Amino acid sequence: MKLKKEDTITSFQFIFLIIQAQVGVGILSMPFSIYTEAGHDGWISVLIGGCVVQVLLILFWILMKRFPSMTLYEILDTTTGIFIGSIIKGLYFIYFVLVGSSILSLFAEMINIWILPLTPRWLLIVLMAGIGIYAVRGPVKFLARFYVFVSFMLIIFVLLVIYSFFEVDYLNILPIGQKGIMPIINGTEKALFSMLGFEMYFIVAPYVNSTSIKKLKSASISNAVVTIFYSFLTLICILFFGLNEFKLVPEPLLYMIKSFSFKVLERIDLLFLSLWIVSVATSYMAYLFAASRGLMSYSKKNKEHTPFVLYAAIPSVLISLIPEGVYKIGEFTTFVTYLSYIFVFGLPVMLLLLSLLTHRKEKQQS
Amino acid sequence: MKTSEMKKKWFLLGTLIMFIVLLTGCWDQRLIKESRLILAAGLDLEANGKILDTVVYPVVNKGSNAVSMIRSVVVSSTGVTTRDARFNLDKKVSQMFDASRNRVFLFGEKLAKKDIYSSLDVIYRDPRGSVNAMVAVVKGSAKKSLEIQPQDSTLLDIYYPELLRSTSAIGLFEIETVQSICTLMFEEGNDFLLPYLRVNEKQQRAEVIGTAMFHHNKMTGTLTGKESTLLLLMNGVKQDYPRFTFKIADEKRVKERNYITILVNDIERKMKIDISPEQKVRVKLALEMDVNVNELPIDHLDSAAKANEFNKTLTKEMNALAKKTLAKIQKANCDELRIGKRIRSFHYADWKQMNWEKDYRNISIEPDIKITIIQHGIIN
Repeated sequence: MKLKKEDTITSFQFIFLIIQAQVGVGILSMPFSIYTEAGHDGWISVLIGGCVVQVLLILFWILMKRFPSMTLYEILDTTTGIFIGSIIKGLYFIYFVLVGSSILSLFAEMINIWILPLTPRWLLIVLMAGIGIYAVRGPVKFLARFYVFVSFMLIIFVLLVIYSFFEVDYLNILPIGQKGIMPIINGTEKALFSMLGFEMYFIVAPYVNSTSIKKLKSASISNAVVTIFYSFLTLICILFFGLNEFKLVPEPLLYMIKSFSFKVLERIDLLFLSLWIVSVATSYMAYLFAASRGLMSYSKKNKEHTPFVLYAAIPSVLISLIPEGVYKIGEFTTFVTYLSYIFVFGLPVMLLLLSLLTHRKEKQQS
Repeated sequence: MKTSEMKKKWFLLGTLIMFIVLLTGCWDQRLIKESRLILAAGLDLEANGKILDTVVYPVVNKGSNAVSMIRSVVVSSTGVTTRDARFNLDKKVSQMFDASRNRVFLFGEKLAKKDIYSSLDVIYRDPRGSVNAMVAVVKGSAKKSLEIQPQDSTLLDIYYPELLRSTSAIGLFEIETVQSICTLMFEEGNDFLLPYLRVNEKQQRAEVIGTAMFHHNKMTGTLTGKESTLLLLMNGVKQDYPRFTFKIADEKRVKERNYITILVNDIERKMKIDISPEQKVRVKLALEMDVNVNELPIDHLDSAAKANEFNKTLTKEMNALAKKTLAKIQKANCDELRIGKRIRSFHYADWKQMNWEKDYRNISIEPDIKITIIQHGIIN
């Protein structure tokens, strides 16, 4: 339909695409935000969060199976009609741009706090956006190859964190489930927010040159990897910080790594942050791609998202410059994450119901 | 077509050059030659409630015969907080201070008895704060301890870390850093010990005389070296060379002959916590030590029976020492053995009923130490 035939990715690349979209700017503060709700049972919350994501992925899969070669945007056009479809598409575009700018905002703030206090925020944001624009302008398969390539960094990430096992206290996670089930459920919400990025399934799935069930399999693998990874990170932070110091450190992972020092490398937190920047870039790219792909769907003749990348990147940069200071940025990102209730959980489910009720499906060309 | 491609290339080149200019990080460069690297710091509490901050930094002097000499320079200044004192220091010293490489924090006893968190807050808050610096408490003033000139090393910032590391190896304490004590300061039912130093001005040296017991953020008492070593073993931590010397005889002529020195080879510790329905806590602390006799001028260990005799004497002595030590830590409210944390982890219902702040002093801890001589050096 609207896709160029030659721009496809494999289901193997799809795994990494979703992982890299999920693992991003929030990873540094994720254990903390889960801890504030779930206490030292936070790691269970992450596991439950992973199950919720899996259920959503299955719903997405059912929806996407009915429209194998369409992205979310074309599905909107087919199921809700051109007029309503255009409006919702516009809202999705705004949502993706907002997520992009919250990523940029948080990224610049983190770098400002942790390593470059005197460097102006706008420069950091422009540099990050520049990388994003450069990467997204190419075909999707280039993006996917890049994602696979940088995924080895996640392994270094894990190794750095594993080092902290030398200084942990296993008693910290006991007694399990002491405060009951409610805090764990509340923590799940926070965990879900940090796992956002799996909605890329809607945008990228039609680009995957594979069967529908294989796509679900890939997405499930990435979900499992991310869930276990996050649960592990949360667990290790709890073991390291104990119950009361945890409340003081909003970026526990970084703080933990800062306290280690090797003979050759003294400040490992800098190394860690450099790896993290790549993760931030990949998730920013994913949202930038999603937004520009949305703009493309408005155009009748264009079959490439390339010309639209700038139109998505510029507003995201401008918006990200507005909030200043940790509290304002916090408010802004909380607002954006709450929007995901509508755009990642609400609307897709409604869309699925709508397509099931109206029996709309993509017409098979054969 | 060709010209447009050329244009594109020039544009790319231009962008690249711009990026090189932008990426140099002109805003945040910090050159070592432009800063004074603080490598050791001491904090004291003045009589008027102000903080006295003493820092040591190395200065390289170009000598006359092309040999450059590094020496430590000590300066101090007062302020209402640690950071304020540091600001006042900055006014006195050429170049800016850089405390991110600090190796040692020494607290004066007076300050340690009041609160150490407030003085360290600035380090926890600073992304470049030296959270892996070692921490120790000095009897008297920390300023004095940084003014000595030990002969072991011309640089104090090497002397103190080495001193603490070697003393930790003989089992007096575990090395604590600024970060590791932060967790413990906030934790309930889990306290810590810091090395306790004394300055010997005559010899121009500092010596470790034991450990300072902490409860939350306050120092609440001290232990001698022998007590600290045993406490560490009772806590299940065995460093490389924990040693004890006990008096076993009473001979008047040659006093040296009255003692035995043992080196602990291996330990096995078991802790059992019993809580009665009325929240009476009884802790049974079983500790088995395999030891190596280092020094025994009075006798020879030529038979297993003889070794057994010594086992009995040593066990008796050690148990007496353990009782004394445990009484001391309970009096100081220092839960170094993590009993509170264990109760919280494994008996949460009881924990909720208890007020550990008060109850810890009243629990009964029963040590049961067994010593077995397994080696006696290369002579009998």
